[in-house]
Amino acid sequence: MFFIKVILFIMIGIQTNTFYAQEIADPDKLLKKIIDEISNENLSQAIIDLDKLIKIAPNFNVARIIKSDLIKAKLSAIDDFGSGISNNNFDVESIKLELLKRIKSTDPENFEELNSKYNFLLNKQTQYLIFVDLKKSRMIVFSNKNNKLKLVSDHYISIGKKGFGKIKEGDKKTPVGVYFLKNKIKEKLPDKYGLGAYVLNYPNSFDRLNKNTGYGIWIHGVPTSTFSRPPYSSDGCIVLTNKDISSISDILNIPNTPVIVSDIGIEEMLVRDDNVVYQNNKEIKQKIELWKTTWESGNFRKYLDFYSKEEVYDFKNFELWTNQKRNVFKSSINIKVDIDNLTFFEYPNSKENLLLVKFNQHYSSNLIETKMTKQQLWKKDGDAWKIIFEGKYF
Amino acid sequence: MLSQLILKIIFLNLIFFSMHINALTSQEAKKVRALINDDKIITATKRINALLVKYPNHPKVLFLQGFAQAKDNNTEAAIDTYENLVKNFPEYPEPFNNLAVLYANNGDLDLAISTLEKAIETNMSYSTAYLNLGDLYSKKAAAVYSEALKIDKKNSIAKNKLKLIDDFFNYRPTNIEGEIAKKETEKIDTRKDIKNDKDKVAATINNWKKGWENKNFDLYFGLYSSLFKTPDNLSITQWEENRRNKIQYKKKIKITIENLNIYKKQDLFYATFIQKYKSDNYSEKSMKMLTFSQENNEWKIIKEISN
Repeated sequence: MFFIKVILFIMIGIQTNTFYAQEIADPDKLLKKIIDEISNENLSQAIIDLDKLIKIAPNFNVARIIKSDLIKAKLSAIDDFGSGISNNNFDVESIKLELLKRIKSTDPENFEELNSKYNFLLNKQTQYLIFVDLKKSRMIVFSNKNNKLKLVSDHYISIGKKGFGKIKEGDKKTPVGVYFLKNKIKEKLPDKYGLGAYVLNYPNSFDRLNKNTGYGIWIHGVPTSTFSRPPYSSDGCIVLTNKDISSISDILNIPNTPVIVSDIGIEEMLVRDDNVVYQNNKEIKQKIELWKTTWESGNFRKYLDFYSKEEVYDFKNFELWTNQKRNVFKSSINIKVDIDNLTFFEYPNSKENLLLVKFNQHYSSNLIETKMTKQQLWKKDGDAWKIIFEGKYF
Repeated sequence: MLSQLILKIIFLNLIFFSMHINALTSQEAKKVRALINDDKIITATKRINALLVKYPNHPKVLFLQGFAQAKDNNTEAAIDTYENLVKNFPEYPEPFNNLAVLYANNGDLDLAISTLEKAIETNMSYSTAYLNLGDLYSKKAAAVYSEALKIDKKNSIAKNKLKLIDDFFNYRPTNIEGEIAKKETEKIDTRKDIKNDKDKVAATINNWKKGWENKNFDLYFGLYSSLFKTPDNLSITQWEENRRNKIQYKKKIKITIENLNIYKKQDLFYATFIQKYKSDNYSEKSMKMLTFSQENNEWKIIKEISN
């Protein structure tokens, strides 16, 4: 009898704990609630909720400043965000920006609409897709099942001090583009990287084509002395809270997970016409199929027509590349090209209409048989999609 | 020491109250108040007008008049009435409170706050004013946050939360008619004196700011009393030297004074304000209180506190 009581007691304890944790688990939700309470003049409740927030997010500067403000507001009139703090240890403007980013984030309910608004194709090997909304300072994690994105989680992030659109080493900007996760850094890192650092393949082929320089663009955590960092505070890396890093570390550990680092905000994408996205998606699939059959047909003139004339291939200039290709075409018969694990991504770059395509290619002819993972960049110039880059993916 | 001071202030207020005077019976006032509370404004107004003929300028009647106007949603007239009332009878906290509520309903939070602060100065035990002030601080915080974070506030100002007072506290009718008129003239004089002194203090603060900004040390140190209580118990000379060293090498100093509030207590003037200091490499915002004492017809700084 006594034991049953003890067990019951423990079970109740566990249940209440879980309930408590569910109620307050998300700092941003709690923050939105607090701001709502303040704007409705309910300062006492706001202070109670702030204490909860500080409990789950210790060293959260946003919460600290709001609390000082509210305590001051009980005794005198405050005249701005941060009026309640008397020392200069805080960069109030940056922290205010973080607060703004956190409370103005997009409603997660809308994220899955991306399925019909963003032009992509995922293969079966791809378990997850990570979308980074640079404008909103947000990282959204999706799982992939049969080329359908399903929301896993979304997170506040910090990016480069100078924003985004990385061009050269040391410009303190976060790159825009389609990247893939490589590996987790195994060596012990300084505390400023927090609970882990995961490497992105910057500079990718398109970056190299554009002669963008720099290296070491990582997804990493924050120093243990702080909960989070202001929105524009890294040297170009994408920074998550340690809490968030550990909650998605299993996903970040999967190599080749695509990370779409977008300077087109999700909210801008959501107003797109589904039909246009669908047509584009269909068109590119047909185009890739046509490229493959044209190659197999051995018609060099038609094959060459898929390629833009200004660009470089395999990092050789166009003329050199064309001559080599022409010679190979001349002497090849029985060309067979098999494509599998086709995957492509609209390039999330507001400047150009680009597509990054990746697939496994199995080529055979009378002369040679090769297998490789190939990547291509397709660019829509006027009405036609042309290949502007092609090469081995590594 | 402090409690003695507070006691004195309350006692002084009690004297003011008891000196307020007249033949207006509490019965008459009670009736009018009941009418207003029953929303019988027209009847109440008639009675008030009759009372005003009988007791012109009587604070209690005027107070009821403002209350009736406010209840009748005639905010402008009510504000006029209360503004006159606080001008002529600044020792009563109640009209300040009602005036502040009306200002707040008009959306003028800053004016409402400063008006309530004045009400509290007249009577430290004035709890409704305090509560209203607390609510206004909350409103102000809500407004500031909504503005800073660009949040659309649906219900901009919840009017129902602030409390109007419907009667004078501690009102003790006596029957010494005519005293009001006498007292009023007396009071206008003292108020004029206080106003003059207040202007002088304001001018001193302005010189203090200029002296500091322009590194005019004669002007700046000249404003401090020889009895100035230096921080850390330094001697005046030591303190002056420290200040001089801190100030003279700055290329540019800019002082901004905000929310200046000057008031008199006993023989001293107190000035509280938000001081924004900005120099070449440093900026700071702090609350400051300067205490002034009169020496040879000039107001000198005897204490400087910042938080």
